[in-house]
Amino acid sequence: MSRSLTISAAGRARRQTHDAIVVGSGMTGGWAAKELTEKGLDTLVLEAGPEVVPERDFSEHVPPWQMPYRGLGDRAALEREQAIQSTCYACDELGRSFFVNDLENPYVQEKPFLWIRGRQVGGKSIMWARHSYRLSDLDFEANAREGVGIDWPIRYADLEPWYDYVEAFAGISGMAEGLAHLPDSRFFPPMPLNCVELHTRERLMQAFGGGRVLTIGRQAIITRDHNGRRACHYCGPCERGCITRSYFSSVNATLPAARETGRLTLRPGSVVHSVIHDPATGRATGVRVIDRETQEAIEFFGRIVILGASALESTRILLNSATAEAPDGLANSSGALGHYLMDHHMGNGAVGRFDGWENEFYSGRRPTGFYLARFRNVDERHPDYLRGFAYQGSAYRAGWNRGVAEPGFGAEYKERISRPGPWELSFYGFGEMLPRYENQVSLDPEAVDAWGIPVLRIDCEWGDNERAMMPDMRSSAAEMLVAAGARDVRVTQEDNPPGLTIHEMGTARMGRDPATSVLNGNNQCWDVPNLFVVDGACMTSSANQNPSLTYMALTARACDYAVERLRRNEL
Amino acid sequence: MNRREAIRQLGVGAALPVIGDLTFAELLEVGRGVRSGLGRPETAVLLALTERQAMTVASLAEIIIPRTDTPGATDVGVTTFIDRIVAEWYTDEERGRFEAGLAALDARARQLFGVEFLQAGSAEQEILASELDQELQAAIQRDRERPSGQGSRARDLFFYQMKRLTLTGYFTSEVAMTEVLGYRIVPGAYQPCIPLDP
Repeated sequence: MSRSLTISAAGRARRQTHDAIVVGSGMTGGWAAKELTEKGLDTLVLEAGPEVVPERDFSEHVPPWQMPYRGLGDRAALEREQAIQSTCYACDELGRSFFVNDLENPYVQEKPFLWIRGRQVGGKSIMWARHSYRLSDLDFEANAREGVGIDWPIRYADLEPWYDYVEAFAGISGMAEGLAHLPDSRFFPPMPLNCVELHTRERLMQAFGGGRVLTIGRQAIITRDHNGRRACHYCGPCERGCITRSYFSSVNATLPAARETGRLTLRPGSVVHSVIHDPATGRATGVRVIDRETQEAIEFFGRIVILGASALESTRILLNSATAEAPDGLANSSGALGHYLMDHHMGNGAVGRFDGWENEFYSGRRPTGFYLARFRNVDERHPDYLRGFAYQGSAYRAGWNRGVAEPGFGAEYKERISRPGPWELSFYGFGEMLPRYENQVSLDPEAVDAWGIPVLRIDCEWGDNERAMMPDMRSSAAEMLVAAGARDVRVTQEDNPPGLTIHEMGTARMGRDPATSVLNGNNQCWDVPNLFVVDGACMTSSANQNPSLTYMALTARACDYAVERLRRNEL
Repeated sequence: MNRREAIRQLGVGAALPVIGDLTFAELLEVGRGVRSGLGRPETAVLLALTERQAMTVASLAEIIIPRTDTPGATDVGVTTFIDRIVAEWYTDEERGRFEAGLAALDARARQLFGVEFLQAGSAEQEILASELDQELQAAIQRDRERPSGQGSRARDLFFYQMKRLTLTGYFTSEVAMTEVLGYRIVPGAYQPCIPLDP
């Protein structure tokens, strides 16, 4: 049951009514804003964090020598204010401005869980790693085939046209490989593999009969000009922004498109407290907001409400929207809300050295590596575990950083470490996590954040299937390095708790049955027909692919459905 | 040769045998003679190190990354960077180890050569640096042989700190990045396979 909230007289006087309210302005909120405004809806987008102005706030072209700590970061500030956020590589000396302050945004870890959050216009679409892969029916059918969790209510054929649709706008660079279980996107020209990566791709094709495909990472980065955005110029630190709008983010692409329609109202500094629900009609009528600066409570009203605040934030809002009629959280008659939390487990792999290519190098900072597509449980059944994993990685020559561990000093040493080191190639695994009821979030009965909103308790851990997969991720990577001719092969593992991959999923899953799922196959709440959840909360299983592209496609599809039903007065 | 003349010569490319005789402010003057590599305006005010410690750090940094046909550690202001890291970035424990390392270096110099590090000749200073580096490499080797998950011992050594800070300060300076490493902020293209030495 949500604690009561006093709406000020001023807040009531300013009450606004819109066709649609979108909560969140990141990956999915941005898409919802674009789709709804382009379809004619007057749309209010509520963003908890501040405005982001690329010309002022993007810092990808600031070189290390202009940073006080040369890229090492303001360690004291990071440890004090962002102890959790700075476990993510992108939360560094400059990039930290796009991550939340942990002191303002506490949560409770029942078990270790790193919750990485971006609260600003653009959300985490500013700092995401941009890898974009389609899911396939190997993923959509897996739960039903194996009796795990519940069946997805959709199949690849339902989503395929929507992948096409969002890709045409976002721009995905990559190489077509014709893999049934990793469908090709409508690609922009691929970024190239370097010579050692090409060598490894060919060796693996031979050694594994085409069963292990190493391809260039499929990136939401355009490699030729597109819709007023400029092709990538290979400066490197994408996570700090992109003044040329080369990579896809809501700031770079969807929000400008929404603004173009004249029907977008974007309100930064709007921390959503809960959804307002009318028990008489069974409909959502709007949302309650705490103003980030003034702490004033304000209500906004709309005909439909779309939650795209990130998986755990959207779920938190629904849990905090409990009423007398829905005491366990809004849209939660199934009891599934908050459960089946998933992430991907990452960091198991291997690295090896390659002799040769001494006079081969590369120039420019390619903002992606290679991708080695899933090969386990595709055609044959693995004896130890279900599902599978993929690797990201790259071949590279070590830089001056290796110098600490190299013997010597002086003129010869300086000359040696000023030049590139030997070639290395690393495989870094990303594995699927099964949905389990026990992995869950709930509202803490006491603790609140800086805006008085109850914080989440997160209770999540890797399960037996994930743990059984990890050793194979290491040994398979080592096996491939050996096949490619590497020496000094060593396996790597990171033992990260869930959360750090920043692929939170589940907690408001889609399904075919209102008794076991929160959403139907159109991201629509079974219990509240004009309320939609379009972010990672909707995922019924996690697959092993980076999920953002799927969220984009699901959001565009859900918005199309919502507008159609709205026109027919069925919401 | 008077001090002013020595500083001027250092700034135009002479070797650095007299560095131990210079004050920290004078060392900064040398750095400015080439080009400043610092984000913040350079200041002669030391944040953590004493002037004497700063001069020891400068000498040691120059031994690690000397001026050759490209600028060296002193030329790009590495000591100012190290002082800032020791003052603002290091934990109390790390700062203590760094300062103890500097003191131990002097103690070792006195023991071997009867003078402190700064007063030792360049050959003697290199002998001392060699010893520290051999101990560091041995510790790195021990770390590699130990099962993972245990705390690193190499990282606790003063010379690890010194080498890491010197390399970071040097290779993230504007001069070293642009002139030595060929860094460009906007490369414009990615070329996957090009000759290293055309």
